[in-house]
Amino acid sequence: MTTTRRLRLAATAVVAVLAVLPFAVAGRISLGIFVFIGLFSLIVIGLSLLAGHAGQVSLGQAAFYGLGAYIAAITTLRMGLAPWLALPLAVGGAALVAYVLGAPIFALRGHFLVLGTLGLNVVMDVLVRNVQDLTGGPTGLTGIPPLSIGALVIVGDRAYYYLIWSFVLAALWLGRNLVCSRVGRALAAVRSSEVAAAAVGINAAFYKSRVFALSGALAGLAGALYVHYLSFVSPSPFAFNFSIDLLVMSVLGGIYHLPGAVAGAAILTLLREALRTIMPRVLGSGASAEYEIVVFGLLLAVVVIFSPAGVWPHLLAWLRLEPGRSSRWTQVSSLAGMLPESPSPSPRAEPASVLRLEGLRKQFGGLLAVDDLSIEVAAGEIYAIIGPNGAGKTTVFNLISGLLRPSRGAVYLRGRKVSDLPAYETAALGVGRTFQTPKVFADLTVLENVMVGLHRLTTTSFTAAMFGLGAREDAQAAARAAGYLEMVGLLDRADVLAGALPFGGLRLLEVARALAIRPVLLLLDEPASGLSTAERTEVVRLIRQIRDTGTTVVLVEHDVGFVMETADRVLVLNYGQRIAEGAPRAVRNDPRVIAAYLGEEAAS
Amino acid sequence: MTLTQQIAQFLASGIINGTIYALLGLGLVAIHSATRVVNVAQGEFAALGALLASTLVTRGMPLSLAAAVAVGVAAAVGGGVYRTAIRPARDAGPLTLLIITIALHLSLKGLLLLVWGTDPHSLRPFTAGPPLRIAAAVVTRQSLWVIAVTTVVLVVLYVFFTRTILGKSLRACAVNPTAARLMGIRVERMSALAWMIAGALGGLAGVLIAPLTLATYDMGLILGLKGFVGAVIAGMASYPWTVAACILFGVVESLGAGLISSNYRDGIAFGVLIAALLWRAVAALRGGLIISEEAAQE
Amino acid sequence: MNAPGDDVLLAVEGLEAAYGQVQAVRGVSLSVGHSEVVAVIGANGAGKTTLLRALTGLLPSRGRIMLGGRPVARPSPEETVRLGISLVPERRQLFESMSVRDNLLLGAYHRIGQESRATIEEDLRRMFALFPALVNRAASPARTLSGGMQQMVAIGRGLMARPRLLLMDEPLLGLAPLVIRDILGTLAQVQHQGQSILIVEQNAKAVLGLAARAYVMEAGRVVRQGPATTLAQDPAVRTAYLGGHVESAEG
Repeated sequence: MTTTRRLRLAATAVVAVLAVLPFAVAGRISLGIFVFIGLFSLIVIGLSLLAGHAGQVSLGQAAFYGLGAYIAAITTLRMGLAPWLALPLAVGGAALVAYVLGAPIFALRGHFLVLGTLGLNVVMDVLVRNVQDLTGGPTGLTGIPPLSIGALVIVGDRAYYYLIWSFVLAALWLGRNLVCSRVGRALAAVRSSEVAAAAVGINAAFYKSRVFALSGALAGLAGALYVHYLSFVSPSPFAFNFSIDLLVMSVLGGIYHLPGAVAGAAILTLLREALRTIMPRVLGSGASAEYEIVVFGLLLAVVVIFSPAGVWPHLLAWLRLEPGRSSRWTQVSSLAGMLPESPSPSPRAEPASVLRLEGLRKQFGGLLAVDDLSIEVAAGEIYAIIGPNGAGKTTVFNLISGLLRPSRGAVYLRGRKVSDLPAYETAALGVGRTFQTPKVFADLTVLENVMVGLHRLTTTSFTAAMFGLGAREDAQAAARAAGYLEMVGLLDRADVLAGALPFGGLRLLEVARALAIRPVLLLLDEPASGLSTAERTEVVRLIRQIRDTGTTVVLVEHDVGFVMETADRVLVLNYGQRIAEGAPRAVRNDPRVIAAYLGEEAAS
Repeated sequence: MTLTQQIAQFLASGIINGTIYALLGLGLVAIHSATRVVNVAQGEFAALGALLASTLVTRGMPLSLAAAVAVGVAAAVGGGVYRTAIRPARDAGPLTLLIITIALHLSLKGLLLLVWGTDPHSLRPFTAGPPLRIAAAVVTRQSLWVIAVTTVVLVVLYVFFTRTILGKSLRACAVNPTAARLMGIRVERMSALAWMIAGALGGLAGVLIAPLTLATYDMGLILGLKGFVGAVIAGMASYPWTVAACILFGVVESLGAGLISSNYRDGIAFGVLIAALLWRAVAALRGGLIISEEAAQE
Repeated sequence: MNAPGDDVLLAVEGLEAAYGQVQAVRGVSLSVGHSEVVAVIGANGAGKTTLLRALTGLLPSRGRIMLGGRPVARPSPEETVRLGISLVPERRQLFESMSVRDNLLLGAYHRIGQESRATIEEDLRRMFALFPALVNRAASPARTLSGGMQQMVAIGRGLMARPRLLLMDEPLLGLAPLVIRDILGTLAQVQHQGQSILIVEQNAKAVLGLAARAYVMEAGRVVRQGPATTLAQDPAVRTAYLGGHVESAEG
């Protein structure tokens, strides 16, 4: 039996178990525990998406849980709103707060989100405890009506169990669709290298803030379901200690696998229950509930040190259910030869110069890296920039592609000023690039890496991706990506994880990925360095082929011999200034260039 | 009390609280600059210091000795935590390291609970006597001790980092670890030292504050959190700015709690924090840079 | 060039080192004598920097390294300086927010505890005498200095370790010709005082005037070696930089 079929069988078995669970545990274990596991799973799925896929830690999910709970409670109890309307309101409210808070904060780095979300917890807690007329203060609100749709009223453990777990399964489905979609690939790219993701037009903050909103929505949903289930709400379950518990559940289960969220929630909740019954017997009655902190802390420490990916991968391995990566796209690679897609931009009337630098200057504190540089590159040229080490070549690239702002001067792409745009916008306008040290997306396959390059040319939105509506576009994207792989000679390794490629392969993959954005201008940063003679010849051929399809190529190189073979025109930089420009042979024999490379005669 | 007197009072208590936060914030910055870790467990050093000092005094040890022992033990725990939990995970990503410190927070808090239970413990003020009147405010003698001791500690730290070789080599490790290794500086020993300093600062904060508010096993998190606020606002890099930011935060918190409502104390403080973060974020968005200037210099 | 058993300070045989996935050094052998300046020149990407990083233990390597006639097991960077090899790194790697004086002082870190404070202070004074331009900037943070002065601080810091062998990685990078002349002058002075130096540099003309002997590297191998004056006239050197092929020294 193939792994896919085994997985499907296992999934069916799990659903079956879930369905009969209430009957199996009747009388022995309270079903309420499993209702809560379901609620926590909903929240943790959102947190795993955020932490594992968007690479961001939030210690504020309890706040969104509470927000959803109180919105539902207040609107149904105080304002008489129908419960089935309160539900989307709670979800929407939590998502909105998450989005408004998250969108700007993702522009900052790392620990700011942790801080902001912790702060949100505290603010919410304080507000809830003090705006007593609305929220009932520390004692909370009782008598919240249960969920009802028309005449159907949902009451009791069993009903909420099935309702909540249906939502959990739905959330898993939505999450899985998202992860496997173009959005999921974009998130994986951002996780690997935000710089490389920007170089293909991906705005990291945009996607991170949406994932954050989704995590807020799921937590808000759990909160609303909670209050209808218990008919009661108070501030205590939403303190920031609970946010920490949720993170523990997420890490325990495994942040990189969504079903792990359910496993983590289950393990922690059941463990807590077990401790509550065992601890009083061991330690004598008293505040036994708090001693579980020790156990959880040690458990978390053990898991994170010995198995940072959590419990789920081990579970899969034990049941021999590890899915292979290859299954999804193989049939598509055979389509590659059939599509007449060419990587060139559609020809139209355009200014003759593709790239123009005007008085470009970049200063780093006391160091002047680029000094008053003005050049013009014509369409269809292969233009090389050479110069001794430290001459400022890569800085020029970073200025053109938008990773750096010039101190003075400007960069124009086909007559349009791009030096004030962020890097992902410049990429979207048609500037592709490779990097001195290849930055591939190691967790994705070779094919998927190139598909990320197609990101701005595909349109499935975040919401559509969640509902799995991007499948056809994805298949087309895969076919086009295969075409680029064929062009660079990597098609036979399409399903290999990018991190496993040898160095030469990484360089080729970066080129294929950059071509996928259909660039007008392709910046190649040291394309020949570290390659064997055979690989170099291949690169020369590839560069010529790229130029022939209509893309202008600008490359930076140290290997002057390589440049002689490839370039139409050469620019020589030293101390950030132009010291010569022209045909390769002329430049090579220019005494100023020789002096720049070999050094001045030391004055006696 | 007139409004001026009230404001003076809030200012005074804000400065005192801010000073405590500053001790925790400094420890956080020391750890972050040496090991790139955000230490969620920083507050537990304070709880440990407070509880240990309380118990030792109750058992008859003189206060000054008990304080010294408590701070020393907290320092040792800091070093121990580095060696057992942080150093082995050196190469892990920031997410993993953060989660490790969360695990530490839980474990340490749990251990404190096991040893000291849930009851609050008290520590007598360092000197007995009625509160004093300074300008328009009334301050307890213990509050003056807080200011005095912290000032001394800050001077000592200043001298340490700018005048001693050990302090300079610790700074060097934070600024450029590769170059530090080339000088022969053992970066790992320096990192352990940074953690010990953070432990000591935290423990000292606990000892200072215990006479003012009681010591409990779970007092750590909120204290550490407020120190974190000041440290982050100051950019997680500069010691003097961290002190300034923490004191400012304490004052804002105190004024807000006093002038608006004491129930809203924490809410106002963190509301201000969120506003400060958003303001900072909007400024960064206009810049739009992704990579640091230094990284682009190649 | 070097008969076996010669009284050499540093002898390297068959060194191999990789930089990431690229085999950057493919079997390099060289030697440095006492009070000698030896240069390693070649275009960028030839493996020169990787060579130095391997010698100081910043990168793993294979092959034999002998210091003062004794084989050296692969030391870590912290131990390398204690063995008497001090590196002035590529792009200086100063402690940028710390003062010039502190940077120089930290260069002597491994001597503290073994030598008296007075001896180290004396060395500091000698450094300022060697680089008079730094005297007025002793308290300034290193990052506020110009490129040339930062390089002086880096060299001074390396010398403060009182090394048997000073390694320098592209010290003339990005410096103006006048500054280069100054620094070369200072290095000549230092060599007269008995310091052995192995200098890796792209700027061949400048450094061949200073060195006694030189090795030319291309694509990870030594392709030419000999007295610096001879190599300065050798057209093969130019080819190694600007393209074309050079037969390896063994061929």
